[in-house]
Amino acid sequence: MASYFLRRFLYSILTIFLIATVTFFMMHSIPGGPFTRERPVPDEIMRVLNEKYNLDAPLYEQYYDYMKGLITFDFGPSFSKIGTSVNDLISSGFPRTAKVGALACLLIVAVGIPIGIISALKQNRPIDYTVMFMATLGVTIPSFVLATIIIFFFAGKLGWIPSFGLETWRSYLGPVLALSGYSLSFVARLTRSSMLEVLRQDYVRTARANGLKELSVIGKHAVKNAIIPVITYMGPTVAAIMTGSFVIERIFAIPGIGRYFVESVSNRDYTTIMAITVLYASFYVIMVLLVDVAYALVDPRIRFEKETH
Amino acid sequence: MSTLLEVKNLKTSFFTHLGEIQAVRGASFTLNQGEVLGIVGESGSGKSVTALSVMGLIEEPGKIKEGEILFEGQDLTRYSNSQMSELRGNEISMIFQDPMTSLNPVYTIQNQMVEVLRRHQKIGKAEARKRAIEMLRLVGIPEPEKRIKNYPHEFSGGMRQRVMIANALSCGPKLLIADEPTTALDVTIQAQILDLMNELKERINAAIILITHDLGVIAEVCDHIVVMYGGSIMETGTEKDIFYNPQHPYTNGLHKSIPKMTTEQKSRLIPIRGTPPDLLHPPAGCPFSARCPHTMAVCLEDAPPTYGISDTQTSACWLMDEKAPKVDNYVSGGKGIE
Amino acid sequence: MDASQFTFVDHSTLDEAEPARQSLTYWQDAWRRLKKHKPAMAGLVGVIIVILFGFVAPLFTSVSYSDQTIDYSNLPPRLTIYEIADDYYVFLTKDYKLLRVSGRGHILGRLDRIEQDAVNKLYTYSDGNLDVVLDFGYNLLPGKMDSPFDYSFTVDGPEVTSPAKKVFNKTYPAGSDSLGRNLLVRVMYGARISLTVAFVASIVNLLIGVAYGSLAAYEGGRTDIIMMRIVDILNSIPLVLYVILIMVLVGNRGLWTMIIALGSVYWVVMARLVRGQVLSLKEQEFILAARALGVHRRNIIFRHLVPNAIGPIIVSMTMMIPAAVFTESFISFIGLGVSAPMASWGTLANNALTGLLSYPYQLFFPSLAIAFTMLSFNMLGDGLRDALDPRLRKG
Repeated sequence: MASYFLRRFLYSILTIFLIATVTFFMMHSIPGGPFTRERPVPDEIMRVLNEKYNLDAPLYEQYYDYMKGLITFDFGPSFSKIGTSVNDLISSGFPRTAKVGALACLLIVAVGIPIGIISALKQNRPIDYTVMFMATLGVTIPSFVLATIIIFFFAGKLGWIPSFGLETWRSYLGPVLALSGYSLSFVARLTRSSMLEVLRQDYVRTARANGLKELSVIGKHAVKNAIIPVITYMGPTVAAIMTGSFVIERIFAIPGIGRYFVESVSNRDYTTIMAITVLYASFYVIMVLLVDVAYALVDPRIRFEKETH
Repeated sequence: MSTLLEVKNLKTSFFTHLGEIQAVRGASFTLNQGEVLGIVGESGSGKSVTALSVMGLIEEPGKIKEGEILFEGQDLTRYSNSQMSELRGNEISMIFQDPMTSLNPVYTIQNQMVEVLRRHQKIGKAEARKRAIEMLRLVGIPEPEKRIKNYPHEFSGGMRQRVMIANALSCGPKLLIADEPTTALDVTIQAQILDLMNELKERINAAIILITHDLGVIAEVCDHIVVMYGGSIMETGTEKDIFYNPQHPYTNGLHKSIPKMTTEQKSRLIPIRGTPPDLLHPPAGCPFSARCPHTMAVCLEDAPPTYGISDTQTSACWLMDEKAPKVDNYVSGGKGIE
Repeated sequence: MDASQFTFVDHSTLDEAEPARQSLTYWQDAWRRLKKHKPAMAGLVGVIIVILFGFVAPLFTSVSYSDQTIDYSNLPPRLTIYEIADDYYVFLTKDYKLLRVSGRGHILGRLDRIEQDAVNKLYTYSDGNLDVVLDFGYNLLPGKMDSPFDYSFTVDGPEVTSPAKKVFNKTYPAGSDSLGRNLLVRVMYGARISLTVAFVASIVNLLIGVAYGSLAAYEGGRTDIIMMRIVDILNSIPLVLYVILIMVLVGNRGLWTMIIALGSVYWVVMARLVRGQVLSLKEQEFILAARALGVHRRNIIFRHLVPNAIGPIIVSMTMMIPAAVFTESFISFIGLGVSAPMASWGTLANNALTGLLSYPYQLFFPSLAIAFTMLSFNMLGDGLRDALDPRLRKG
């Protein structure tokens, strides 16, 4: 099993490396430089700028410098926010984004899985219909719509939560809820259908036939099998949370890296775009790796297969 | 021998959105201590539902409508689910058809066996593990100390069924219900499992109900046989009665559809024509009347009563009525069922 | 009991007619099961409605998505109107424009503001022959606090202080945006853009995915391993990021840029699916059996391979379309969508964001359109999955 994890780890490193490379060349293939504006910049200034940001060096040299910077976590200066480095932006923005994202993930797991289980156990009862109705609604409403609805009602009409920033605990409610809405609903639906499937399995009947208490039949024998597909989904969920943060941070005016990313996209701030892309992608790759590890830990059959082939 | 289990007029139905499916329509039989009872019938005959009713494992939308299940004199139909769960795996155990799916794939054998042992007996983990290993050795798992740490997918089908048997017997039940325990296995493995059950029968002193659609399986192990069809019991008797002196046209039909070593090469197997009755709208009379070669007018209108043939044999067929015409000996001659 | 009861009956006289099951082709069977699946049929109807709404309904409107009338900006779908003279109705906008409205909700024209007294909060409007004085100082000026009404209109008679009625806006059924464009028409054209992007991107995905997946499965061996490694790597990348990067890279934000961006990235899922299907079918014994029985190649492909492989592919297509709608609206929402004056649903939602608290309806309609589309496609997809999986064929 150790060799399986080692191989997965090496693939992850390779993936991150490829992502960084592809991103670099994508950004550098954009016609015109980052300083191409609608009004032409005087040649002299252009030359100074290009020199300052090392843009006149040959591409392979820039690539080498960039990769060297990545390994030492130095993403270089920001092109649009003169005087700040991308590292500054990330170190100020990332903790906020991470906090909201982590709370959203927590909410998804801690609420989505239990209500999916309850819904499955009470199949075709009113509580099941209610949960499924809400969950179906949840997967049809994009996060930006949910966020604006929350702002409109809870911040605007009712005034329960602030409509921007992250100063008090209340101010987390809106962004976390908006960010987790879709995935929470999805996880609830997934858990329910997976649970219903598992409850029909022979081994659940065996557990009952062996006289195990209902709590053990459900809590031990059914749940562990039922959450296997949910674990698989949690990797992509992290991606949904991260990309969700692009709009959520914009709507709730949270100065996190999601908002910086959107700003840098409209300002053509290439170093920031590259840095955040690589950061997000690496984060995602690591999450997928962790999910794979968790998967192998929960399901012995996977461990067995991967080892043998 | 004293009576261990007595099922009286059991009626179990499933209330689906299509209507009431009458899976078991009044089944009665008794089982003595230490005896092996075979229940034989094709799929949909109600044999598995009968077993699940005894276990108290009929799930929504199913329900035991009527009848009594007396286990050591206590009516199990009156037991609450938690009372039943005290009994299950302890006094009454059950093993199922498909050993590949009947063990939980994400837990080790040890985990699953120790859990059952500790649920029913006041013993520690180490003690439970020791007993589990003993049980595995008893059912013929090689190197049980090592194998107990394995996951189900690391066992072959036959070995898994042995594990299932070990698990079911671990608390020393008085009754073991085996629902098609060999159907999902290869023929050679089937024989091994049957041999094992025969051997265990002597050693564990538990009564066994063996459910199967295969008369051949029944012949080797059972003292007593119940033949079910369309949710009702057609014929009961000892192994000898059922095999050498069957009285019910359905039992006879079953015999004719099995190939035998003695059958002449050119003779044909005679299948029972038609399909089993629709239990959503069961026929008014005998469930077998639509397929029976000796259908009489009465068979279509009234369900036959159970006629005693001898001390050990009964048959639910109007042909047993004194007013009915006599028909040929079933097994060796007759015109067969067409 | 009567002895006559105990006579044999002839089976041929018994009503033994077994319900003969019709033999159905794959598609007949799938359609029959889909028809039974109520949510799926509701989803299908929803999908048809959305398609008609986006592609047919705009043919019947006289206005274009880009027609703007600044005078009529930010009008809500429900108008509170005052009857200031006999059969003369007006509507007051939030920025104090006075519009003449018919009693049934048609916008007729704007009254010019000819005098304004900002201190006493008195405005005078005129349409040429009728002068109206608006007093909006109630509950604002010290002397006029605690008034039960906020506005009064005076023509040359008694003050009109209470609205005559609320009517639906007939000119702008879904309201108008900040430039006075008809939101209903814009949502229709938004549907056209969103659906076109989603459909075409899904077809591009399908083509690339099928080509890539079947090639990998067909070639097998080393080629397969390398091709699937690439897919694995692409699969462990957050793809939305790359759609965004491609949008940034291409710069020119037309419909096709979006289609290319979505189509070039999301084929990975399809490629995996197709490869899996082809691989498993190749090995299936029923294919071997059909071949051994001398079934014609054409029949093997069309009667055995296609029905088994196409189900999952169609289901995945149906699920891909709402996902593409979702992604497209997301990209548009962060400002990288098709360029103005064209607008997809995401762009409309984004535009509504600035005036959200005053004009929530501007968000409501595009959001409703997205949610309705998502719901319809999801329900249809769920039903199709049940209907097209031959392994589930029963009953």
